[in-house]
Amino acid sequence: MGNSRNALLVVCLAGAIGIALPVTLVVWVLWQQTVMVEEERLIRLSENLAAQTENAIVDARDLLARLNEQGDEPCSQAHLLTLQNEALSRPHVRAMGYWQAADRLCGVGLVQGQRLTPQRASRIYDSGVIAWWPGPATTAGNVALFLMRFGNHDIAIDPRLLITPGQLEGKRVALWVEGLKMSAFPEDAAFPLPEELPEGLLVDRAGNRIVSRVALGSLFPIEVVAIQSLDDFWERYRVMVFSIGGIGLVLMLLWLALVWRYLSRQLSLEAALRSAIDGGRVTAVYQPVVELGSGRCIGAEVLGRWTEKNGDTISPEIFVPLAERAGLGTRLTLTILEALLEHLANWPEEDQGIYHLNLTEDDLAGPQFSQRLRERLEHHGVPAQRIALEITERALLDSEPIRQRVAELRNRGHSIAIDDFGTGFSSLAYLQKFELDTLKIDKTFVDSLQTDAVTSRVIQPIIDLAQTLDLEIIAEGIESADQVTWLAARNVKYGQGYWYSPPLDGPAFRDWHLERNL
Amino acid sequence: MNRKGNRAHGPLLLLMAALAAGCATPEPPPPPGAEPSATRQATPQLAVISTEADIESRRLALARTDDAVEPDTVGYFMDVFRARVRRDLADTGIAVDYLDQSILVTFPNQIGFEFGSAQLTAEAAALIDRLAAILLEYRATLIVISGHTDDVGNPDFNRRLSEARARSVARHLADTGVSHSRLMVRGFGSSQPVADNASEDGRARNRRVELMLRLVVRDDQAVASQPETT
Repeated sequence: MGNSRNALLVVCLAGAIGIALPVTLVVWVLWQQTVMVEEERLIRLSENLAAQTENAIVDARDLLARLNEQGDEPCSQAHLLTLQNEALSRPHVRAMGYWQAADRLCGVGLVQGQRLTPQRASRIYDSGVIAWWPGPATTAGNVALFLMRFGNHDIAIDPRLLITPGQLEGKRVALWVEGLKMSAFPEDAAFPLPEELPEGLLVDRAGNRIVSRVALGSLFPIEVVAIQSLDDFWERYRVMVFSIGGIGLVLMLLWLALVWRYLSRQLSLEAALRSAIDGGRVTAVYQPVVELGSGRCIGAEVLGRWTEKNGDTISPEIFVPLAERAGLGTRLTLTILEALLEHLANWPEEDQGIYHLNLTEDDLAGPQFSQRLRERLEHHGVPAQRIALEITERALLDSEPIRQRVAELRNRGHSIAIDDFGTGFSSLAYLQKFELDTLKIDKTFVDSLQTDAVTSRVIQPIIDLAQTLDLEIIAEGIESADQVTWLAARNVKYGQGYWYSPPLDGPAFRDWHLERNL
Repeated sequence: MNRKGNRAHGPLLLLMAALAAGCATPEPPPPPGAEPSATRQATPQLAVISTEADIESRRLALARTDDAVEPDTVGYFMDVFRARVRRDLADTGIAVDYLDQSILVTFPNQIGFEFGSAQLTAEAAALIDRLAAILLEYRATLIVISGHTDDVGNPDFNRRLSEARARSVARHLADTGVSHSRLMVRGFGSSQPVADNASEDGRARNRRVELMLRLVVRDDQAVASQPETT
């Protein structure tokens, strides 16, 4: 019992680590995911803003070039009308002018006579385009304008209108063109310079804000710096983080619960098997073995049967492997042996039947089982010849101690049978190394006799092999008269299966046996 | 074009003299043996000058006119002036240096003049037309045109040839409409090389006509004192 408590402790510990680790991982992944999503949003926003600005600048340059080409008499009614229409059709254009050298002769938007002549141009391009970025010298009516002059025309753009506040979703945004600040929203907010920021997202915990810098460059390099408060950011992603994180946690807990359930069930099954063995609820049943030619019963394979208190029976296919895993294999075998020996003691009739006892891997792993077997047989006065031992291929590992143990059992008079031949161990080398008497053909091969399955062609070589090695053959799982006929025709001597009888308890088997051999 | 260009003789000199503008100005007379005096009554203002003081006094005179730029517009004027020059003279083979309050335009003689002559080539005339268009708009400028040669040949002849070439450029500008009062002409001969005359490449660079386009800023005091001086 201490064993299983330790196991539970390990499970608990593993569970704790198993929770902490995935939780950390889920939180980390979610954070990365969130930052990535936010970065994508910011890049999209920045691209929109940059495109808006770039379009405005390119459009202004093209417009100025067109105006320089057009043929209207400068400052004529037609010329001024053209300027006015072009300005009015662009929401961000505040003024346009016609110049000679440093004299603004006429224009729209600014009062006649007023002119903006900043002392220093921000950029003079080879094309002859001159630009003044917004600043005190380009300010008219308290708005710092972006000025561009080409030839004799100039244009004044209101940079505030290059940013659409509705797009910003509460962020503060500033825009640099060619490294010079062009526009910001809100205008008076403070922004870090782009060159002081890393590209991408920066979480400024001290300032409780997230600062991003996105650099874009198609015609001119444009940089967008956006600032949002951490609270806003959290507000947007809280639902996502909680829902995905919650689902992740629930899935994880579900998985842990499943593991827990499986393990505790395994552990409780083990405990139940122990108490079943101790409480005598594991009993022996007998599957008759019949001589195919005569139909006489020549003995039985002894199987374990676990019947719970409420009458449920648990299949050997479940509890035999369970017993082996729990180190209860030998106890199980001995329990069944004890039941068999009692059955033999209560059966005074002359009976030369041979009983096949299944051994587990544990039984051959050490010398204990062999000793106990001898003691019990001696105690009950049963000769070894009446107990055949069935060993699975898997147990017949290429190991010298096991080979010796099997040889010793055989020397004592036990006949040795290979169980489930052809389904386990792949190497046939053991057939030479081990001294064997009987080969039991697995049910799968017998089943396939009347079918086209590939296995149906395998049974003949198995029979040939056994006969060559001078082994007796018992066919398992016979379910039809045709199978009996086929097998008998090939000199297979013995068989067992539902065609003859299902496994029977002691008294029933006795009745069946007597009736059969009348 | 080549070195022989600077060794032109008699008949060529006469031709140059014929092309040269008159010299009926208050400025001090040029060194002896230079320009033939006033051959054309029509262009009395095309001045040949020799000193910086001449240029300064002319600049002061211009500073009193309406063409001069207001002091608070100086930066703007220079920026748009530069942009205009850059746009119109780019890729022409003319060297342009943008200085603080002036722009130096240098015509290499290779593209400027016929072989050994002060006669402008058609190509140069077209380029000077383009320059004239700019100068007609940007009137707040004094244009000092200096001719230069390499050091091969007679220095006195070289000086006169350089002056004649400068005069050719000035005349063309004047013909296009640029006011005579803004034009000044100097002939430096080989006295102001920009490259080493020892190599052919250096000599080619020294044969040139320079146009210094000097900003003229309105001088309020000069304006105020104008009535007194006149």
